[in-house]
Amino acid sequence: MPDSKRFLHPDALARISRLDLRAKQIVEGFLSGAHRSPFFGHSVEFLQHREYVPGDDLRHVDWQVWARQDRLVVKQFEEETNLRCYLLVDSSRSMEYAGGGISKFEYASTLAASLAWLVLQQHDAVGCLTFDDDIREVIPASAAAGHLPTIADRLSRTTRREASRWDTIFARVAEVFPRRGVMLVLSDFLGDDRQIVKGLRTLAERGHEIAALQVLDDDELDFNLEGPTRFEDLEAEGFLACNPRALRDSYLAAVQEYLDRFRHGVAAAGMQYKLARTSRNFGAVLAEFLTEWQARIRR
Amino acid sequence: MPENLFSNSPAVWIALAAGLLAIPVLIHLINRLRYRRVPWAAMEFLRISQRKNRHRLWLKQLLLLLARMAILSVLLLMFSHLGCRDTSWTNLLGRGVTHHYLLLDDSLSMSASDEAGTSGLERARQTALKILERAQGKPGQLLSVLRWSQIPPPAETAVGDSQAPPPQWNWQAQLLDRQTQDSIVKFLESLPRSALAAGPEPVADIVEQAIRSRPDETAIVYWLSDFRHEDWRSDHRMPRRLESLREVAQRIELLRCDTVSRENLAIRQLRPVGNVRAVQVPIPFSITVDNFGQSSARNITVSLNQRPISSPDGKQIVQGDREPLPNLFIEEIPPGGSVTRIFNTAFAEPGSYLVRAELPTDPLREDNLREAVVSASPARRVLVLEGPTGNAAAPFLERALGAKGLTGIAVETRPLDYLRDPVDQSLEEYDVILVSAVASLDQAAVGRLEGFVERGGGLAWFLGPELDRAFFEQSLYRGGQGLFSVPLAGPVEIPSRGSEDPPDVVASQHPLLAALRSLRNSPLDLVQIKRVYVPAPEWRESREGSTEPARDVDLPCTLRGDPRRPLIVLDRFGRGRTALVMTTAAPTWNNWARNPTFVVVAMLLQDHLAAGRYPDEDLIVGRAWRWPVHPGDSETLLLQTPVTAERPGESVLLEPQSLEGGGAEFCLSRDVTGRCLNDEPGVYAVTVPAAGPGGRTTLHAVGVDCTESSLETPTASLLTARFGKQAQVLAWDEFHAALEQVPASPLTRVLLVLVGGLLLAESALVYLNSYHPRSSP
Repeated sequence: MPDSKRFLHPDALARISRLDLRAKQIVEGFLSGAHRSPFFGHSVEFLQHREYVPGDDLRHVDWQVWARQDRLVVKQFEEETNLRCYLLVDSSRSMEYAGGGISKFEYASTLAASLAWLVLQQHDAVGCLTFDDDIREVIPASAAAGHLPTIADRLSRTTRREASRWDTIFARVAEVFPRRGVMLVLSDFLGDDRQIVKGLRTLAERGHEIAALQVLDDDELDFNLEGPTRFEDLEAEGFLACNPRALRDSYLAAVQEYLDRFRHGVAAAGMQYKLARTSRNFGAVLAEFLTEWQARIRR
Repeated sequence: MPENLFSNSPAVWIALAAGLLAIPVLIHLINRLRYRRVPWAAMEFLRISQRKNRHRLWLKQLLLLLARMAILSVLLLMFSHLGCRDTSWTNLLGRGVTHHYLLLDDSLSMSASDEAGTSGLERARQTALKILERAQGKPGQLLSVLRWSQIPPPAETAVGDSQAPPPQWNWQAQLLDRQTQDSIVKFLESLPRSALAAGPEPVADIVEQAIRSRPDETAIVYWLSDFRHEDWRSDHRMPRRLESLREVAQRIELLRCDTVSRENLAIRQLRPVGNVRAVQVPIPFSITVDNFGQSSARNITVSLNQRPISSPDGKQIVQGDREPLPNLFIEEIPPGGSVTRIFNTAFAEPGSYLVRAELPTDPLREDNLREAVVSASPARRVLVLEGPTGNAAAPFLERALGAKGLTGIAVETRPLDYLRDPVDQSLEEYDVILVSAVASLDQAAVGRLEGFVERGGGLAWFLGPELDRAFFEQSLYRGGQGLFSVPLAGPVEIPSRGSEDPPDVVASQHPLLAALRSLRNSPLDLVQIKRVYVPAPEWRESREGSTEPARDVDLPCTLRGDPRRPLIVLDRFGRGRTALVMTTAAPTWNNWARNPTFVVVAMLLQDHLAAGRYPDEDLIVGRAWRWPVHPGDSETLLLQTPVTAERPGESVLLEPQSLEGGGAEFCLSRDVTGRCLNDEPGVYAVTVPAAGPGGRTTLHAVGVDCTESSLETPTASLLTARFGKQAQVLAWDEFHAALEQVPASPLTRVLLVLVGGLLLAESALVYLNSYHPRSSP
């Protein structure tokens, strides 16, 4: 492992208290590798032709095509602004869980800051939002060079945590960020997967490109706990006392079934999905995510 | 409740079992309370998992708990005496003291030798040394040694003193250190043979008692014996005794020190026949030889000899020259049978003589030799007391018994006044007193006669017309407690005999006159009885319809065969014998005195009545001997034991012991330490010092107990079949110093298999209750 990547391990990065510096460390390490950002080249204006229909603005008719082919087509253009990227970070109580070292929220925040740094490096705008049962922090999109410390600072100060409300939260997000853009949702997505997918689909229908980064702890995925344990619900009243060994097989089966169902739901909605273990180094996760994103764009 | 290793108390046992069984339950409950708190996000998956597995998990946990409790239960059973017989278990639990009990059979039969001259006792000694070697060098080893001969036979403890001497262990619970081992080795190397008879039953009782008194030890019992069939046969009580012993002993080993059944002949009895022991007349002896072998013994020569052992006046013991007697030849003795022969001896001088009979050498030499002591006097004295009426019976009796000195009997006739003097000691010089034609006696005279008979004298009373019936009833009959136990009626006249009537005198089966029954044309048939006394009606009614003699009296002859009208009634009184003759001695009521059979009957009657003078003619080693204390005897009795090659003789003073019914006796039994003073065959001298000068010394020949002469031993398989469940049966040469592991009992095996199964089940349950990652494909 190159030295630059060695420092991308969550345990090492956790020692950097400032999130913007942490993000810078990640992205610089990441960029020094083989990967390139998939967000380059989005300044092209022309997109495609389509048949003219009554009502279309005549300014958009391509007269050269009419002169050569004697048919009316309309030129469609990309927005002339730079890419807008929205980072939605789940700050609900379930994100507090930290099995070994870094919590899921910290991991998601670090990823979000790293992505923000990447976007800002492209001179594109990036905005951020934290949510639980409601929207807690909103940082409007901006391409200003000093925007990252703002995002990092707000993410670091996010403390109020409640249970997620997947049925309403994405409708609220759509209202906060009406302009289309790339929307990266970082959460553990623990809840009713149908509701979650339905919410994400709502955002997609508003013209957003959606990517779901599911952040889960190793304990939640592998369930290697020992001894009699009293599991206390982080988001509701209640507990369950058991020997984790005895329940492990069926627990893992239930988790796997849920993940498969959620992944298929997200994919079916045309969205990007990435599972991030909190034990993995950020650079690898970012690289995999961006590679998959680039491949998806090319398709 | 079985006895267990930890305690004999059921309460402690129950508490222990309950405590141990509660352990897994407590662990189970504590584990359930000892939960780690973990805040958890993915609760939904846990709930799903728990819903799916709830019943299965509950069942697994329950099974695990039950399996652990069952393991503890079975282990408890194994550690208890129910299932655990292995010393390694007990040593593990701290019960490390092993007590070796050596039960050494040194009875007479163990002296039997094989062809090489090695006796069973020698083999037992070698085996005992191996046992010592087995225990050597191990910590916590105790040893107790018991010689069987140290234990009084059951018969002696039953009839002897209420306070039987305690069993004497030669070594009792000795810690086997170097010094003790050296001492025991020396003891075993010089182990003396014993001529005593001893059986295993009392030994089993004693060792069981000893083991029960030391419950904290592991007991191993070694029986070193020849296991003779007589002692260990299956209908014997030994199987039950061993079973009882097995409950307390961890291990029992039957070590056979003689594995071959040997042929053996033994002289069971040698004694004078008849009771006229006088010089110059033949004194017949009876000898009985038993064949204890499995095949017939043929052409047996018994060598005989005699020698004087006292001076003529009987006051000094001498070692006279041995005078051979003609050998006895016995053609055949069947297996298990016996043959009795009579031979005559005669002595020229008065004094005590030792007659010895000896068989050819066989495996057991001690029972081939038998000795008898006979004291020959110038003549045996008979006193005739005749009443003043003068019916002149004395001449007939003198002629019949004295026969001009040829019979060895001296008859003296004295008047009744002789009884009025204090003549107790003088009366002792007579064997028999004959009373004839006497009406009555004063009470002092009757008392003297009773004392005379009580001490072994013989008394015959000839009834006649002079008899005072009231005197008889009050003094002689005394309600059945007097000298004679038959009440009288009559006298009655006897009518002349018809041609079809039986003879007036009919001899019965009683040995006294049985010889006269078989005579043809017997002169006895010519005897005429004219007048007799008859028993009182109540006695006759009790005899109505009975052809058998009364229980306590003998009727050697009856009037015309009618048992209700006996002519002679034989009875016993104390140590002596009495005869009540229902008719006169003189030819007053009969003509018997003129009949030739009168001499025979008088001689036989004298012999019968004198028998009380010769008790204890068959003394056996190890058994209790008793001598009455006579008036005028001193307070002590001096016993002198014989001199043997192994040890010098010794003198022992015996104190008289009071008897329950009055009187006193000297008794020779084991002393308070259990030591047996009469454990060697030979001639013992018993001296009763008189209150004044002198005293009397009698010599007694003592023989071995022929119950030890049967050398038949069961085969190993037979012994194993009888005792295999209780003990391990080994021949002496199969025994090794290294302890063989006892095969586990069937119960132990079952418990071990059960524990193994339960442990496997417990492991499987633990495996099922834990997580095991699947190998990645």
